[in-house]
Amino acid sequence: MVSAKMSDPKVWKTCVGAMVNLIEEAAFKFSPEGVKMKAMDPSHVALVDFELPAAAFSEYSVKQPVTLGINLTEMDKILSRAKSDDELILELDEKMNRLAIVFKGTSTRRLSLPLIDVREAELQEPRIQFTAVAEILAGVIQDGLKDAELISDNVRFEISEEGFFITAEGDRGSTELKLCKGDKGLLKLSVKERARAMFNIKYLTDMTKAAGAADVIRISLGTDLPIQLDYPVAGGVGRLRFLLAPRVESE
Amino acid sequence: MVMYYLTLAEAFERLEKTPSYLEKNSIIAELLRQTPPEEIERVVLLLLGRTTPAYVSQETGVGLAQLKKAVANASGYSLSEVERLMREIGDLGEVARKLMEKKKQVTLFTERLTVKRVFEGIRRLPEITGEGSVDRKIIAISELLTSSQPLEAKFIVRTVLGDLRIGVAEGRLRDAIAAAFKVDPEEVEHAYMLTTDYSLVARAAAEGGAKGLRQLGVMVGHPVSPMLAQRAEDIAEILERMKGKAAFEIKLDGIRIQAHKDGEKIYLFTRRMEDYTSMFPDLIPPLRQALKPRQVIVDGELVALDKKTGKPMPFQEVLKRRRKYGVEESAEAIPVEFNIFDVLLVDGKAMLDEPYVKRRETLEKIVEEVEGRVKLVEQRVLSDAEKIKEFSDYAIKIGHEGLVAKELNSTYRAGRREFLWLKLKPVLETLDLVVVGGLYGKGKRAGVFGSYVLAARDAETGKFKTVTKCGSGYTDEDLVELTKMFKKLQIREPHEDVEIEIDCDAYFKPEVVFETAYEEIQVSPAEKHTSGMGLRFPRFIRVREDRRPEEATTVQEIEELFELQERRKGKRA
Repeated sequence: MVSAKMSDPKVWKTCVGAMVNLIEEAAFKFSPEGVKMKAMDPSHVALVDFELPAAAFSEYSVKQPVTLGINLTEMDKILSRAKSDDELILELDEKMNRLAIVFKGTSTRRLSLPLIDVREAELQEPRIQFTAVAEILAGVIQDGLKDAELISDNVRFEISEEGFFITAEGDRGSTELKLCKGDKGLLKLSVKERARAMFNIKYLTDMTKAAGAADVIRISLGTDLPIQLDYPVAGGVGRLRFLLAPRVESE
Repeated sequence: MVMYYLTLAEAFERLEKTPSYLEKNSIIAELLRQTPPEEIERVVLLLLGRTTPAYVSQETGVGLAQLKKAVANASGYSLSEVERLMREIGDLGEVARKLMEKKKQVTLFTERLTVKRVFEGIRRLPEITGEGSVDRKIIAISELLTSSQPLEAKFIVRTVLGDLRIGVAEGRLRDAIAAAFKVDPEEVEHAYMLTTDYSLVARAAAEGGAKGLRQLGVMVGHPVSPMLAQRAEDIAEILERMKGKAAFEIKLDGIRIQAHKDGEKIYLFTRRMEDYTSMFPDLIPPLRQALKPRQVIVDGELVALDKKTGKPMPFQEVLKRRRKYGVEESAEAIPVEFNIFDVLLVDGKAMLDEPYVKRRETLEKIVEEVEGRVKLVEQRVLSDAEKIKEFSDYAIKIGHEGLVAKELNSTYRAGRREFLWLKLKPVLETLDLVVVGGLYGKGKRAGVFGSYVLAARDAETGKFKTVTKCGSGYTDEDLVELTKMFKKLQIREPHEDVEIEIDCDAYFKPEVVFETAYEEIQVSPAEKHTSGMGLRFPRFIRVREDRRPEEATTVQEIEELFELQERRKGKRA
């Protein structure tokens, strides 16, 4: 059996909201230790790595490990029906082969969606030697991306001793966002070596869309390497991590 | 054993590069030999640029625009860059290859594409339907392309577009399968005639050799190549060939249809092995009722009767209306009647090797006629020339083409045109010729093609060889509609299967067949025709939508007709 309860639906909702733009179907692995989901987008450009340990739930009961294939678009739609003071319960309905999503508030609402077969690619995760890490307010990144979007499809991220930069170059002009040491938006900076790489804006937008402006995103970067974005989940016990492959800069 | 798609893509590339029939043959044979048996069906279908046998109409539902997006996604280039290259190169497959060679978007992970992965990826495209299906199709293709090597991307794109361009026609597979598994090409062809599916044939040959091929039989749901009739000169010839007595059936003027019943399911296939089931929904319930066995395959002619005159209508008209005004409404206005004359399978038992008389007897037992919808073809066993003439006159009087004589003990020879069935048709002989080129008209006909270059098929090489330039018989409306149609088939240079020496304003893919009347066949005419023959006073009759180019009149047939013509001249002289 599977039954998992959260007193605040926001955590689950935000995570699904961030994944849904990249992958349509996901295989959630429920085990006694917690829930895990790892998936790559169809183009193999982005990877989502999600983990919510049993401790992040107010009640959690999973006897046997089980993998549940879920259409994220459908789940996202259902989650949008949650009220902020609802309790959220995920329950496996084995007989019907469905996952029930229960909202417990002034009333008890039970919405369920069918389980599907999800092709689980064996993921060989790349090992990356990041050389710079920064913790930044999500709102700052969102702004930098919106600026860059005006003139290009791609954007360059850079972390150096001086700070964090988002720049874009195109026929239509250029944009630059600068976040220096001491600026309010930059919470932490740790640089072994200056790092810069270029990425597709659309992917980054999708990955950062679900974050609240005040959320802190941890960015790990290496020159011409994939970028890693870590979200704070359930007070740091959970994990929502994105990996995005870079673009080739030179012609 | 896993087979990687790269193996296939490399073979495709070699096939595309060589014009030589023999070399193509050995490339395919070599490929088939190194294919594990469980992959052979997929490989054969992919060689034909498909994921289903030809009789299953397959539309991926993916247009050029979506594919361009998928190529842009996978390579990391902008759509405008894809379009720029497309204008330059003209083939999205090549564009994909070029861009994947210097792709801009790095991936986190690549998988080696297997044949199965690519096949299933493409096969499932039509199943993606509903809300957002256009985007989901783009995603599904991008997913394949992302993991592709440049060469793989080229052929995946072409396969999705339905234009593989490696010069492998179905007919070519016969010899390649025979060579790969050391079996007789005749046996390969026969197995194909029964199943209409080279993927099944190849697998049977791979697993069981000649014995495996012989075990393949007709199957309900798989169209069988229909047996065809030779043309008789006159009644005397029929009586002579059939030893004085034969079964005569009215030769109906409709379209040949093979009806398959499998429980509640009914399939209708044309002579061209196209699935026409959805075209005639009005025929399904009557057929369920009329065909008594649970499983059965029958052969017959579908006829449309003009409500006013009671005479058959030209079937082209029926098909045109069904396409134009919708199937349901046309079904109401012009009802069709299925006239059965043969049976190929009854409840799992193949009937092909039973003699004609036995098959007809069986038919009479298993078909319960449904008034105005399903009936047996009128048939008489005759030996008297006068009675035959009477029957033939009657057939023509009620608006049909004449008679077909059938040898009483003949088996059903799938896909064969032999002297076991003989057509008796008094009308002017027409030829079914393939349109390969066009010339713009002048004066009143300016702006449209005013004449077309027509070709016959060389039965030995499969090439289309020109026979005539036909500039008459068209109404003004015909000219406009034909021009519209042929603009879509226009290609820059003569098609690789066409042998042509006449300069045309336009060349076409050899896909459309014209029924053409003529006064006389000539050898070495003034115009330079690659068939070595020509027609005097050719005249366009109609487009034969029910004929595939492979079924066009052959060069050899025209040679025979020429001899017949000269024989007649000799008699008159």
